[in-house]
This record gives sequence, C-alpha cells and structure tokens, in this order.
Amino acid sequence: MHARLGSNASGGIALSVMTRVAPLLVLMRAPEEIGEEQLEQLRKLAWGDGAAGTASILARALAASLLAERWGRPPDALRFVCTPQGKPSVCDDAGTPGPTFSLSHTSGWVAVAVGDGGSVGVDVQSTAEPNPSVGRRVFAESDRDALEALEPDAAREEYTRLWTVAEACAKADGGGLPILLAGFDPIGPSASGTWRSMQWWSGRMSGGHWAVAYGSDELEPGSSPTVREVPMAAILAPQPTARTG
Amino acid sequence: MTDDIRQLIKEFGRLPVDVDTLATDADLYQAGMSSHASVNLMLAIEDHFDVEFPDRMLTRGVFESIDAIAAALTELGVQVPA
Repeated sequence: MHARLGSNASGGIALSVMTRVAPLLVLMRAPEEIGEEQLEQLRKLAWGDGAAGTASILARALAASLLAERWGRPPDALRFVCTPQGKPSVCDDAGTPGPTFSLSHTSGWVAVAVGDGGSVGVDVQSTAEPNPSVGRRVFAESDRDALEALEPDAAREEYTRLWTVAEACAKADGGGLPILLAGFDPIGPSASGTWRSMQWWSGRMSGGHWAVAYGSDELEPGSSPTVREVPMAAILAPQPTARTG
Repeated sequence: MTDDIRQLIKEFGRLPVDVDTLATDADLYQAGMSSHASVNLMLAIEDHFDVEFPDRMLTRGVFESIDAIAAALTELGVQVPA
C-alpha cells in the first residue's frame, strides 16, 4: 500500500503548505489500542524490527509516509539506517540521501520532524515529574533556579518543556546523551531560541510538550516550523485513484 | 543483577508494558521508553550500582535492553552475586 498524507474522506490533513526552509513538525495522537488489521498496515509502512512496540511502529510509519510524500518516492523504496546514537537517516536504493528527519514518541503521542537537509531533532514528552538528578546533570543553574521558583504544577510543565528543548537540540546535533549530561546551555523561558548554530522552537500539546531544533545555513532568523496534527487515519488512507489524461 | 535492573526499569522506565514480561534482550525503546525516562533510568542505575557511565558508554545501545545494561555494568566492574 502506498499511503499518503493528504486530504481524504477519513480525515487526513493536506500538507501542501509545507515550508521549504523551516522544518515541518507533524504530531499524531497514539491511540491506546490499535486493531490488529490497522497495526499490520502500520507495520508494512514502518521499518525495522517487526517486534517493535506500538508507539515505535506508529512513529516509523508516520515518518515513512511523510518522507515518501515529501521525497516523491513510494514508502517501500526508502532505506533507513541509524547511527549508534540512534539518529536515523533515509536514502534510496542508489544511496541518494533523502530529507533529514527525526522522530519521537511519548505517552499518547508520536511526532516526526522533517527538514530540507539541515540537522533536525524533535522531542515530545508527556508532562513529567521533575527529577532533581536530571535537573542537576542537564539544566543550567539559571534554569534550575527558575524551576525552583515555580509552583509544582507550573514546575512540571516547565521542567518538561526544558527537557524537550535540550533533547531536541541533542538529537539534531547527533551527539546524544553526552551533550545533555555534560550540562546544557541555559534555555530560558522563551518559546524559541538558539543553541550553537541551531534554532529551536517549543510548544504545548495536550498533556505534554514538543520541541524542534534545526540547523541550516538557509534558515533565516525569525523562521518558525510548520506544525500540523494529523489523525492516524491520514497514514492508513487508501491511495487516491490515479488520474489519466 | 538482571533482577535489580528490571526493578529499576519498573521504577524509572515508565514503560506501557509489563516489565516482568520483557525478555532480557527486548528493546526498551521500542517497548515505549522515552528519552527522558532513559536518562532517569541511567541515573538511577548509576546511583544503585555506585558507578558512573563514561561518555563512551552514553549511547542508545547501552540502555536499550536489560542484557545491554548488564553487559555495561559488568564492563564497569559490577560483580554478579554468586
């Protein structure tokens, strides 16, 4: 099946407005349960271990659908590889590199960010209880001080947002955990900012936070990602009937 | 050692599956462990076993399964009880 992310009777969302410079972020709610028939369709789209968990399958299926549409190739023509740090990339049979992308999943959500060649990283995280050990190892003193000044509910939200920003930047960089555990640069309260040569953006979703980081020479200051939420039906929709003439 | 690791995964891994049913080579990320949970788990392992993972071990692969974590701890000199 060549699934597409497009307008369709089952509720897909057209992505024709994708920017060609700033990254595209697609969020999808992960159903608590997926029927075996739908899961099998998703497995066919996803790559990798057939024994993967549902969220992982869903994220990979979403990524494959997005990349296929963006790159103009059928999903089964995509070849995925991962670095030891877990950063995925895609190419075709000839080894031609495809769009850059990153994926993430958390309780109830999956997310895929796609770039036009720049380094991209995405993280989604359901609102988490602050872990002081993580705070001490990852966050700058100014961010920890700001967290401590907040009421518990607000602290949970801000801790989660700070985490997603740091994680998205580390994923875009490709350096992984050592970057986080060496102590991340101050992030601050803004919804967007810069880290090294990258720009990052953060936002809310129901029950959690997302962040995207992107590094590209073509990215102009003030750019922002295109953010779309699509239903699972968008990647399970049948391929539109081919037109002739 | 694997029992201790499994218990720490229960406490910090926030997996949407029954940790007791996971095979020791099951991929924890594919089972639903988030990046945030993996760091929580890593720090809890360091604290529990009184070790510090060097940068070269801070890779996704080291924390992707019970077996992988046990191998890393063995390499760091953690003794398996007789």
